Amino acid sequence: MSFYFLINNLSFAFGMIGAIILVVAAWLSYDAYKLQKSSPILMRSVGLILFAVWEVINSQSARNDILSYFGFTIFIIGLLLIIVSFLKTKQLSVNAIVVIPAFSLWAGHLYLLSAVLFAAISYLSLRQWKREYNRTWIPFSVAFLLFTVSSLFNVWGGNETSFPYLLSHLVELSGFISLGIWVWQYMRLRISESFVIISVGVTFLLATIITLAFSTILMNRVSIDTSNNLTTDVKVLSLSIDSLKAEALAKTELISEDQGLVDALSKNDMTSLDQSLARFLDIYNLGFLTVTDDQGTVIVRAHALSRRGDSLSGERAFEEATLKNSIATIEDSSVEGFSIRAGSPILSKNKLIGVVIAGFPLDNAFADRLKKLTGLEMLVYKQDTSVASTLFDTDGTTRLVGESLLDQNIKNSVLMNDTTFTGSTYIYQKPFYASFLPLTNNDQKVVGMISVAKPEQDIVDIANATNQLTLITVILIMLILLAPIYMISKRIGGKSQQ
Amino acid sequence: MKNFKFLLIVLIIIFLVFIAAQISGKYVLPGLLGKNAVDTVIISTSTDETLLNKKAPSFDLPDINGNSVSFSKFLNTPTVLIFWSTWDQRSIDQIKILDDYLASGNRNASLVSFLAIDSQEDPSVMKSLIRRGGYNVPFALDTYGDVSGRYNIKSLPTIYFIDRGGIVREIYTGVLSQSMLVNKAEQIIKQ
Repeated sequence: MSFYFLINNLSFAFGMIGAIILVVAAWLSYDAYKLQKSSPILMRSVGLILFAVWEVINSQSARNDILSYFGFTIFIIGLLLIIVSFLKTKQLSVNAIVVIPAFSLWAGHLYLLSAVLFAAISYLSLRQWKREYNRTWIPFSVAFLLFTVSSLFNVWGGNETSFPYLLSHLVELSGFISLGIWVWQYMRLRISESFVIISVGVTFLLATIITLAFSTILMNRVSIDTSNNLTTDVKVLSLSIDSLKAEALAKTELISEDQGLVDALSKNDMTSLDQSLARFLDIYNLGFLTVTDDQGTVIVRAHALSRRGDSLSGERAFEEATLKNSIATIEDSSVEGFSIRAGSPILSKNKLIGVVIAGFPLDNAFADRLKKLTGLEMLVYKQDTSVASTLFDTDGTTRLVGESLLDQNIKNSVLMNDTTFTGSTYIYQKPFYASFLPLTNNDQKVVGMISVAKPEQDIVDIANATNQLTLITVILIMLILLAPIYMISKRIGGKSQQ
Repeated sequence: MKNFKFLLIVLIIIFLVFIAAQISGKYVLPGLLGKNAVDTVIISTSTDETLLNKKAPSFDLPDINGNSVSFSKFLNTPTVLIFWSTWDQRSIDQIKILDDYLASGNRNASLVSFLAIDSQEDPSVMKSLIRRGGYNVPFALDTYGDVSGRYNIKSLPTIYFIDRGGIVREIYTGVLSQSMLVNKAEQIIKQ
């Protein structure tokens, strides 16, 4: 299981633990309300329940915007209710409580707002302790202070495995533990309520553990299947690349042997040459087509007519063609960039008069085409730097190219040892399951990589959906069991009093 | 005095959190600045708005198969014209985005006519790119740049939004994201 999956599951577990503690605290507050009939205490109870709901929504890593807005609205309302309950309470003499859960969100402004609200509640509860000389408020106040810190860490954002995010969750968990200590001070004094609360709490806790175990197994299975599929895809891709090399080579040879082209080049008839090459580019469906003289100077580029006169003499495809051999390779060129390039000599009476260089750029269009065929994100690397990709930045308009791959394992496997790599990695700071294949030139030297990738979030979404379903089922079962548990607790409570 | 102590503790904690986050790396308040603030790309635009709110110039161009594409065909239909060229990478990105939009099955996509006009290039060059990219977008070829001239195209890609009456309602220079394309398509449908 990848670190990203682990964090996702821990986040779920923390959220559920927090929700359980909050529900228990809400229950205690409601119990206090029944004794006092005080509206602030009821508000506090409602506020705690709203927080618990938010914790459940948040722990599911909701990607749905509407759900996120709904959840955060509930969260803020809950916090405000708790603050108001403190402000309206003159003297709190019963064991009703206030609590705060955690949260999480996407907008720094909202996290900052949450932090302010948490800090306010922490301060108010501290004031309550001073007013009542009641030390039981201390863990409560500490819990809120920890929630404040957790919120502040979230303001920094970052991905799910970033340091601020992890620290935020750890601090949040500490806050819930502190809150749990505060709740337990009251629970241990009440036998029947404790029985019900412990039953419900333990059941939820077990359900959470079982849900996590189940989703972990599921995610592992899905991850293995995804890896296998990616490995297959990348092998198919390898065949496609080989096929394109063979195609480029065959077409280049055919073009170089065309008598019309040979005549036009011999006579230096540029008009005929231009027309012939435009026709070849069209009918042979090539990505680019260039003719050079025997020294490597470009005479015509069918795909960029205005760009001529430069030299390709240093290119492997050209050099081999001057030896009257036809080859296909992968190399970088000034105009076409990183590309599959085939070179073939143009001979007149067995004398070299020029060279045809044609092929397919390994560019964004190439990546787009493969994405259409496989449905997967595609990246092409020249050495370890991406030169083509199907990924766009969050603005939706900027294509993500030009990043150097940082994963040393991939570099070692693919670039150094010429083997494929399949596994979890980060591409443009986002977690992906990806398969990397080495691209080799005619000398079998690795010159780059091609990669197919699937966002890990797709797999995490499956796990989250499973968690949600399991959780809903457990809640329904708990609701059904709640009545008999309550009856039993009443009887136990009654007997113990006798 | 005790309240002051509490506030002091809170302030110290906030300070420590800031320090820790700074040490932790590159996350310099992206949440407060907005997620994309650091990555914001400023697109240089040089849009000629001479034709804005005026009748769009008519044209008759060949499509990729040599069939005629006439402007009159688009009358009574909201139309989006995209001027592009294969040598411009941002133009290709725009074609890819449009291709994804048309393939998405968005209801509005069928209510608007799209035409990508390739500017001043040999047909074989454009055909090669379209085939390699597998882009399934309606294309027309303005090989000699006459139509681009009439539409005052100064940079690529440039996108014209034309209402049902043939009036140019918006001119955009630069790449439109899919969501922006959806919004603008909706606007042109309503006009």
